[in-house]
Amino acid sequence: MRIFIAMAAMLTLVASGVARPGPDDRTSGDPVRGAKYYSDNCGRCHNPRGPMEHRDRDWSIIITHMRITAGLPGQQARDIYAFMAAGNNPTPLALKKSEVVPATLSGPQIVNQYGCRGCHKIGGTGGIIAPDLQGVFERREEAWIWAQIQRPRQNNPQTVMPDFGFTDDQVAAIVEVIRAAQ
Amino acid sequence: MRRSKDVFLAVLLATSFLGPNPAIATGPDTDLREMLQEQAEIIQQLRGEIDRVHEAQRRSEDRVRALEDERVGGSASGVDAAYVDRRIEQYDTADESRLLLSGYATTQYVDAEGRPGTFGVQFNPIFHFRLTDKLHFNSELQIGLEAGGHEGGTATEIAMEFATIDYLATDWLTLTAGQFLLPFNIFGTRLHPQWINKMASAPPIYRGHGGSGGIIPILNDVGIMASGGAPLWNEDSKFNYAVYLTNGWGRAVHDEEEEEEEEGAEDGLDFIFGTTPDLNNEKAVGGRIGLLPIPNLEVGASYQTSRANGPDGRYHLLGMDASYWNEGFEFRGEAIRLSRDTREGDFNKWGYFVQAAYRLKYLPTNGEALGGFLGRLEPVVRWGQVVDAGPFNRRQLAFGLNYWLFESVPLKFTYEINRGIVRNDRLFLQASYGF
Repeated sequence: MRIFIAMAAMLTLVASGVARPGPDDRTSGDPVRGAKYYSDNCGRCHNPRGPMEHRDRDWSIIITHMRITAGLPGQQARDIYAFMAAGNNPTPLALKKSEVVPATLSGPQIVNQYGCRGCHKIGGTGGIIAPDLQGVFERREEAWIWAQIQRPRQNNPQTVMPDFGFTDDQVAAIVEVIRAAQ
Repeated sequence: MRRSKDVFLAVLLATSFLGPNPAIATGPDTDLREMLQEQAEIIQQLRGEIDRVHEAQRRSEDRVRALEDERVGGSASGVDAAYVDRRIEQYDTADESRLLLSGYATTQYVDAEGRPGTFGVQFNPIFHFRLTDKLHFNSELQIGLEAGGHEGGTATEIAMEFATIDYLATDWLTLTAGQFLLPFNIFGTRLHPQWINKMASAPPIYRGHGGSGGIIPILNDVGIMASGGAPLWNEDSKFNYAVYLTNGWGRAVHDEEEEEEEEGAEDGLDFIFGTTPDLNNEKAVGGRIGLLPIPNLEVGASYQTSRANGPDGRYHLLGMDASYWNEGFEFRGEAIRLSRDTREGDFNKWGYFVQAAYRLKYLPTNGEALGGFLGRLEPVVRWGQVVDAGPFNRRQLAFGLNYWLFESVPLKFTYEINRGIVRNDRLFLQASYGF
């Protein structure tokens, strides 16, 4: 038994030394990918929690604990943290992405770039954690939909949907994508 | 701005040192002359002060330029950009608290057949301490009430669910040491907290946490574990794993009278599933592997083997679990088989449960047409069976209705219909809060 324990300890140490350690947990997440992983993983066991329930630094500890408990890959945990921090941040996410996202994108490109389908179903494909947008124009006024995209917390202060800081033109393009998918 | 200040000072000084104003010099009021001289001295002092400020500012600007040079492309000192970023981040986060308290609390009313209805309460604080980004300490206590105490009253029971130090070695590997919830199926590790569990009680195959009888408790033990997860063929698929080595099982030592009263003492088999200190040199070895071919589906297989103290042979614990969830619908199922190699012949206990729940807010109307109240409701049903477990054999049909006050605060109604050697139906009213 002693030999077995010693070998197991040596193997794990070697494995941890050989494998390339991931970067720090709070620096390399992608909030757009995080929206998808949040939708895929958190709802597996419990109701999804809103980003405003904790401060960012608390989320970094909680998500690490969840990573250990649920066996999440490290990068997915970092992406989820980035998504939660973005949802918790009054600064529109678009400011962070302005360097990599061209100013002029088509509606479908915006929907893809910002990971809308990470949480919502649009035209039958997408995530399951947020409302299916099929029939949304029958349920809501267009002004409400517009506000939900541009200023999510105006309609629901506790929403987990990040404020992407979309311009009027971008919102109009997104609305058209949703309308075309009806 | 600085130039305009200088000009202003220069003009002021020049006017101050142009010489005595003949009107003043010849005037009778010499106090005015003295006042002007004092003002001139003050201005001189201010000039000196401004020079010192300018010098400090120049030094600061030089320092900033040097840091920026280091960040951009390294410097003669060999300090790279990542190092500078790290220093800045350390400075920014120096005042961050590393300790976090989370957990859950529950209060409930249980009315079991043949017993008086009882109010109960349980509090499970979880302490998280981040030593570094890669090194974490986590511990959960379970604080509840039990019979006993002074003159047969109530005593406070405190148990440690887990206390671990976790090292995030790589993206795919975490090393854990301490006492941890054993990754045997997923109800014990992920689902048993009352704010997560859709039912007010544990499934019939588990003991404790509102369950009764059952085959095994929520397993925890002391040892070491390697666990993690990794993507598979695309970003939608992944697997997770855990392997562990722990102190393992033991057989409790009781006198005969006590043994008859002890829960789990059926068939002379009174297991302790985690012993500290270890009762023999036979460690328990086990693990679980879970596969998620698509994000909504997880299937897992678990195994553990150990040899208890005493004349028994080796015990084997085998588990299977499956979960599927989609737009408010959740289905779960788990099965357990406990067996041992024994001179007395085969020994098998087995059982399973399946459970389905549906959150009404995900109805095709998006819940909005139903209104907020109905959207917070969640009906749930569970069927389970325990077989070849002596007096704990039973079939259970349970149904419930949850009202989610908040997403982490369920109010639960659960009714269990239990059929076995004795009829033992139970009613639960439970409020829980995950924080």
